[in-house]
Amino acid sequence: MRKIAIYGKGGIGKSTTTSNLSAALASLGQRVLQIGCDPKADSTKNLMGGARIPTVLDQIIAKGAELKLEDIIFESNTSVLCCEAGGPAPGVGCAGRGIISAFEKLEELKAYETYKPDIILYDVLGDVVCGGFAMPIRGGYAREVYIVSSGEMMSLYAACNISKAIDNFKDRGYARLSGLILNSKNIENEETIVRQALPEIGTEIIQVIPRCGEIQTAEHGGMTVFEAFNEGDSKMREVYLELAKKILAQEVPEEKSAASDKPTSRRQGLASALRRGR
Amino acid sequence: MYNNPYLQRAKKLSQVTRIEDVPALSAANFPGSHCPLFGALLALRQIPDAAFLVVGTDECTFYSKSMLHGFGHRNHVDERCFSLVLDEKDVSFGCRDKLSAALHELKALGNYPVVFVISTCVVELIGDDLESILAGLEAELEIKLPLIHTEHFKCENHQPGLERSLESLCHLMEEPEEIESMSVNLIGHRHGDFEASELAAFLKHAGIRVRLVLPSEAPLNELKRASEAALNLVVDATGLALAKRMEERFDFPYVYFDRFLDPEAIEAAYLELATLVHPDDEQAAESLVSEFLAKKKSRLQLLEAQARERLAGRTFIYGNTPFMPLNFCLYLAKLGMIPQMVQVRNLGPKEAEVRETLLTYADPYLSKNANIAPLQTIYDCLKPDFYIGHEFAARLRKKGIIVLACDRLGKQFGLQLCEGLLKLLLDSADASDALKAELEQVQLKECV
Repeated sequence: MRKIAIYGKGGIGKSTTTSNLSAALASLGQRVLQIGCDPKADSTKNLMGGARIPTVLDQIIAKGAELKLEDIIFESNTSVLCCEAGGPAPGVGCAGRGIISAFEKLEELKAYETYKPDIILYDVLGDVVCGGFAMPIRGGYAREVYIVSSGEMMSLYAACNISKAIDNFKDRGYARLSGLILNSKNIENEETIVRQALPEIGTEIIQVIPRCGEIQTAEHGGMTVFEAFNEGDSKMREVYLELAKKILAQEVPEEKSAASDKPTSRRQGLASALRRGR
Repeated sequence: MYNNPYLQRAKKLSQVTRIEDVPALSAANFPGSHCPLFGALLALRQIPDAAFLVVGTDECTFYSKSMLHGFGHRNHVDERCFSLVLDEKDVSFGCRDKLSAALHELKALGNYPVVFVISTCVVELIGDDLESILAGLEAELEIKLPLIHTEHFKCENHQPGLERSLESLCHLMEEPEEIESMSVNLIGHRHGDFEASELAAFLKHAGIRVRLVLPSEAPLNELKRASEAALNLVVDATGLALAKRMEERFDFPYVYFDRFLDPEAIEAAYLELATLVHPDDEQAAESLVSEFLAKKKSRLQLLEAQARERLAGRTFIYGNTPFMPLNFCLYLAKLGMIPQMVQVRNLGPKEAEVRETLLTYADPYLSKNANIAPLQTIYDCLKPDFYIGHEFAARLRKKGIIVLACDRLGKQFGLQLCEGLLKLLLDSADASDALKAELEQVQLKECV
């Protein structure tokens, strides 16, 4: 199971990139689960026909102990499983704590064991502002992080900040920064500017996403380019497919488990006998 | 329907299937509950060579020391509890640096191969990744740093603290070098002398040794080797989390043998244990158990017959005991007693199983947690013969109610437990009859 977190400055195009990437991966035969980790809960809108799905946190309040996976995970027309963590309204509560609670609920309901996705994409809000928003890159969630950035200074500063946060957890062998997705804003010498910042960020560009009206057209319809356009009719379909293939070809960091990976099997006879009885 | 506001708030067993549906009689509880920090310290205080680092506000850390001091100076536990007090800056910037400095300081003392790090509410709220921080420090300092989360905002009492502390002991355990085939670890035992129990006698009869008792004063070098037993024998639900963790990590099987008040369940649990002696011979395992239980079963059957005669029709309110509430009530209901109200802290899977059967005998009120303040007016409505749990006996005597505190039965297991309970009830039935006669006399005198 690949577990990938997508970070980047607010408004840079993370959710657009992530939802189109999800659709691209699904079209390549991957079973994809996209989890929006932003209190705005709009990550999966373009996958769900422009509609906002009920969030985990809202459903915890609404349904309490009756909450089931089908209340919080929905399948799109492009066969992507969609989930939104949710969070409090702006100005109240603690969104970071909310993310932790949402993740705990997904684990408690055994979401990953039930749906068995090939790939999980965590679309995380703009900045890693507290422990809660770092949740996707620690605790055995995401193993890989991609940062979405443009050539604008503020988005590159944010990229550096996120890279620093990832570095904080590197001793535990958690998520590794696997690449930067350049989401072009058509700034002059954009790619050169970004390449100059790469040594400080500590990664390479995995894909350049050109600025293209197709994306806005699709979004206006509440769709990804995979729904809005047919195969062969869209330049951006090919761009996202290329990104998806590159990600699939990437070497996956090894999962480090806190517990022993080699259970003792010397008691297998007894264990089996007891399980038969149970 | 009684004209009593608390009873009107309570639900009947037939109306609830989950603990979330069970209301409390009042928002405020008496005597109330502890936070999971209490549970953690309760479980860990006996470990002789470990230190505890409580991370949180001044109050949490002071509470810990005060509590341990109150338990006494055994093993100098109060001198091994250290405080890491977080201030406003730590909440804004995280506690990583301060925690690291504290653990370096403890390492420099040179006395503690293990430091249990106990995180409290504030740390959990700010979302610091303590697992990650401690994993790095463990490698650097070469001491074990098991972590126990005790955030009170996610639970209602100290039980999670107990469970997680026991579970954290798995972190100290090592892969077994060899396995002692006829041995068990006893997990979750908290009520007095196990040696006097029927279960201990069975283990002896079967030639099974108890290697390790948790929680206990077992030192760390014994804890490390816990995986060398053949089986975990879990005698309290608080030990299940540790047993499941060990099963996951070491493929380590367990048998759950709680204070069941159900002869069939007891026999089934003995049979599971007997599998240790005869893993491939079901018949031999059955013979071992039936031979051990034969006389005890006959004795119990006689006692149950007596109980049916003497106890049928007598009513009770269940408060709190070391037993599983619905399991307890079903056993007595089968003997003809009538549970009028049951105060429950949780309804685990084993309890859910007995619910339907209990409903064929009775449909008692259910309320959340033992809460004796609102009960005072409820007694006058329900007029039970017995209150089973902790209450002020003299006060209830005036209402004609006999209090049965069952704590001393907590160290018993198996059919012995059924027997012990029935003997207690039969004696109490005599006391109840005498009390009723006495009160009748008093009333008569007042009339005259």
